[in-house]
Amino acid sequence: MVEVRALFVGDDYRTEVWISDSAAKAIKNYAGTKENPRGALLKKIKRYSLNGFRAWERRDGPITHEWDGVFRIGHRSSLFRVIGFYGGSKRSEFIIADAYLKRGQQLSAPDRDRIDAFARIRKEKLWRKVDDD
Amino acid sequence: MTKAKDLLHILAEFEESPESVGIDLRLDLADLVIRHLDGQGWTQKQLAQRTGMQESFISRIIHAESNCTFEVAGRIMHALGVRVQLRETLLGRQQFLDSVFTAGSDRIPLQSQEATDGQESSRARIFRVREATTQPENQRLRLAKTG
Repeated sequence: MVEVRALFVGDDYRTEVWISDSAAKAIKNYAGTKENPRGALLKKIKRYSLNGFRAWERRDGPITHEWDGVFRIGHRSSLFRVIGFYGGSKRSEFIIADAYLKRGQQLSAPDRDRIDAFARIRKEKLWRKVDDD
Repeated sequence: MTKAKDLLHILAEFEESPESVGIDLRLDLADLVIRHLDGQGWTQKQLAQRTGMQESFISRIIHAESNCTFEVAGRIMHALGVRVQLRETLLGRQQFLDSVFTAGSDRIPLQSQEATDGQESSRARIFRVREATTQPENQRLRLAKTG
């Protein structure tokens, strides 16, 4: 069971964003790198959330459907990827389940397995919201 | 254990920085380009061809990961048939975003620009892109700073 906490939640956000602790840790570690000075990626995710993720979905990014309902948020200047899925049928909330640095341009077998695993988590709703305390 | 609130602290710090305002502008441009690409039914490759730019550069614009000059922005807007202006706002950020993201294609209600948020307005003078779709025979880029 993947536990997720509120990141961008409230009336201001067209797509509310919830995030797992493991993804939060990966993004925190990524913040402060040369490619992501002090949280630029977070700022982008916040904007996507305010606009609604759907407005930023494109085949060529920044939010791209991988398969089976799993999406990636790309950061073009690096291979860092944020992986998640919509939590409800109305696409009003997005669950950031994972974030990691890819090892190459092409998806590796472990990358694919990872996406398959999150597709299963989405399909079987093996995630739940928890308080931030 | 890193939690969501740790990320919010990082973001809050970042949003106090000049770099954050630059990212806002990049995101404004990316948002504008994406919506007009969708409106025209174009791919980024088609936009690249129409502007004579590399597709990879258009991709970086869409990902809000590229600086570009006014001349380059002008070429992109011209190709999309969009006229843009830079306008200055002293709005509080959230109030401003509310007005931007709830309005239609003309995304910055002028009357809302009179409202202020003391804390934010004393800290930031944020330039934003105002857009208006133009007729093809009247395509041009107009950059204006208004007080």
